[in-house]
Amino acid sequence: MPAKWQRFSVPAIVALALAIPAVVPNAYQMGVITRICLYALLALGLNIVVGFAGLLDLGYVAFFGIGSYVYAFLASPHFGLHWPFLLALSASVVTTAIFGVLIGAPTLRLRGDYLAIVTLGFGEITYILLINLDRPINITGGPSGIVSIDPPSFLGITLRDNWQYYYLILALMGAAVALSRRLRDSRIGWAWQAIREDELAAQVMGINTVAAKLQAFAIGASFAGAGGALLASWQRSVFPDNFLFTESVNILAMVILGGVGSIPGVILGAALIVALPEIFRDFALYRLLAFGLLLMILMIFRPEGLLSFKGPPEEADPLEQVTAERQ
Amino acid sequence: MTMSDRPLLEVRGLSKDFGGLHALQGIDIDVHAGEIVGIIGPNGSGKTTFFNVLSGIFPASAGTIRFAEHQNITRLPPHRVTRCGIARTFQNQRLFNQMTVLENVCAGMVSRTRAGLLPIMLALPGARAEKAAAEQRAMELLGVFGTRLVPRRDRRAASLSYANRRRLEIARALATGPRLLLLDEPAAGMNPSETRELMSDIVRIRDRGLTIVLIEHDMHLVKGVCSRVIAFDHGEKLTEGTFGEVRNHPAVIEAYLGHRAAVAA
Ligand SMILES: Nc1ncnc2c1ncn2[C@@H]1O[C@H](COP(=O)(O)OP(=O)(O)OP(=O)(O)O)[C@@H](O)[C@H]1O
Ligand SMILES: [Mg+2]
Repeated sequence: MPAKWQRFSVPAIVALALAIPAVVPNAYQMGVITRICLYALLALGLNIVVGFAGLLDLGYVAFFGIGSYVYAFLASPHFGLHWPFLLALSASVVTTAIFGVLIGAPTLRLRGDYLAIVTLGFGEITYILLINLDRPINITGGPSGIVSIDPPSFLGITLRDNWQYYYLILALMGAAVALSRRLRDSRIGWAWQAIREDELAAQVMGINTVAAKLQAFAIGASFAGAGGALLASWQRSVFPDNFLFTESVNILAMVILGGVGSIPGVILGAALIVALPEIFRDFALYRLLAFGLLLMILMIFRPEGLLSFKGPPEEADPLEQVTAERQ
Repeated sequence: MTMSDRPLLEVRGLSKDFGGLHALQGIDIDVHAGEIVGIIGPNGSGKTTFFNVLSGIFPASAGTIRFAEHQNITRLPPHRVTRCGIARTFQNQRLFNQMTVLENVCAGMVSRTRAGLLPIMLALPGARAEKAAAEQRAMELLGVFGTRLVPRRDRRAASLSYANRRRLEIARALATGPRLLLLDEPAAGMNPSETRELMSDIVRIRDRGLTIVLIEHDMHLVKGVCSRVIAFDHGEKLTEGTFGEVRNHPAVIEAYLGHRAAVAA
């Protein structure tokens, strides 16, 4: 994107995002838009792992779940703990980052399909633990989850209204965008992308691929940790069924649909995957069918995603011809 | 200077087996600082394997590699070898295709920078200054090839011409800050004028203070830039010496007969 164009478009988009509560008429629509922002945050995290570092993670929702439950443990009557919001949120972020490293470490030698299968297993194990860890001692609350979770409150304000949640989640999504950009255009982002493009060449260029992959897993997971804390405090309850495998697939679809590695693409992907099923709601029975068909059409006509970082293949290099003719 | 007596690179008894295949057998090679050494040999004679073992991609089956002040780099993984000061290019280009030209060179700079996750995420001044310096250095390295790469800094590596991709591989290797540069068939696929340009590029890079070992089938290039030539055959070092000595060595002529007719340069 040309820098000049960006200077106008970024403030315009921010202004638009801030104005949404004033123009959107009802709570239902506000809720959908807030969910788009929440999922965009998650998808941005997965984009670091899949889009930047090229590591296919099919169990990403596990981090979302861990983040939610950490928040629920620390800010609800479940254990009688009522940590301040920002502290509990930070705890979710740090815990999921640690889990990102713990899960990442044994998978470091795996690539592609094998990595996908192991991470898928991790997602399933997390779900099974959440649903079963109510006996012999009740840790997770089992299938009925944890309820009466504290709403976000900081600086003396307790959030209750839809628009307040929207701004909170928008702010964290905005932070995720800024962090994604900074990381992508840093030495760590260069290392991630080099690994994605050619792992052996990356090693030979002096990149410690083990460290770089663990960093990708940690950061990606921590975004989901923040998202989890937001979900728990917004929904005021968490259930294992919030973290099914299908959610991992949905989030991955957001990353792929918009264009793997592209930050605006990932946000667009989140908007489509969250909003389209809502739009097709009137068709009830055919809703998922129509949604699936649309995705298929998209993947046939733009397999690289809507706003892919790849762009169309370039043909002749005009500069090349000039220099060739000069000889 | 007493240091110059001691070779920069000392390879002793280096062997590499792939199952029953002896790809390298007891290779002894010394390379002194400031040299441009050429390795020639028929296809499958073990030249690339020698680079692969040197750069830590394959563990050696036997033998030792001493480099500069590092007593034994034989068992180091590739990224550690690179950090010791050995960089390389690949016979079959391995650029980071979807990254830009500038980013490819920046990727070579990762091991020479140290900003951590938090300083980067918080955009602390130290991290920003380091990044700006890295990008500036990357631009300088693109400038090694005149105006070939500089105007294309923001293009994807995949979109470059063949010759420019070869140049970018060299620039990326230089970014790791090597003392020894290994070039695997840098002129392959280049036309004669591009090869001539490459020859002066190679000499210019040596004059920046680097030592170069290159594998090449193009005898004009070997003759033109290499101060010393080593011939491989069947994983063994046949002979070494000046280009003339090696080319006229009976064993070399025999190794090439039936393999390639084009020794006569
Ligand atoms: N990874 C590998 N596994 C098994 N055999 C290998 C491997 N790499 C190389 N070889 C074998 O080792 C021998 C030497 O190969 P090498 O690539 O080093 O030759 P080369 O001298 O670089 O040839 P060329 O001029 O064609 O590039 C060949 O017989 C090759 O088939
Ligand atoms: Mg070879």
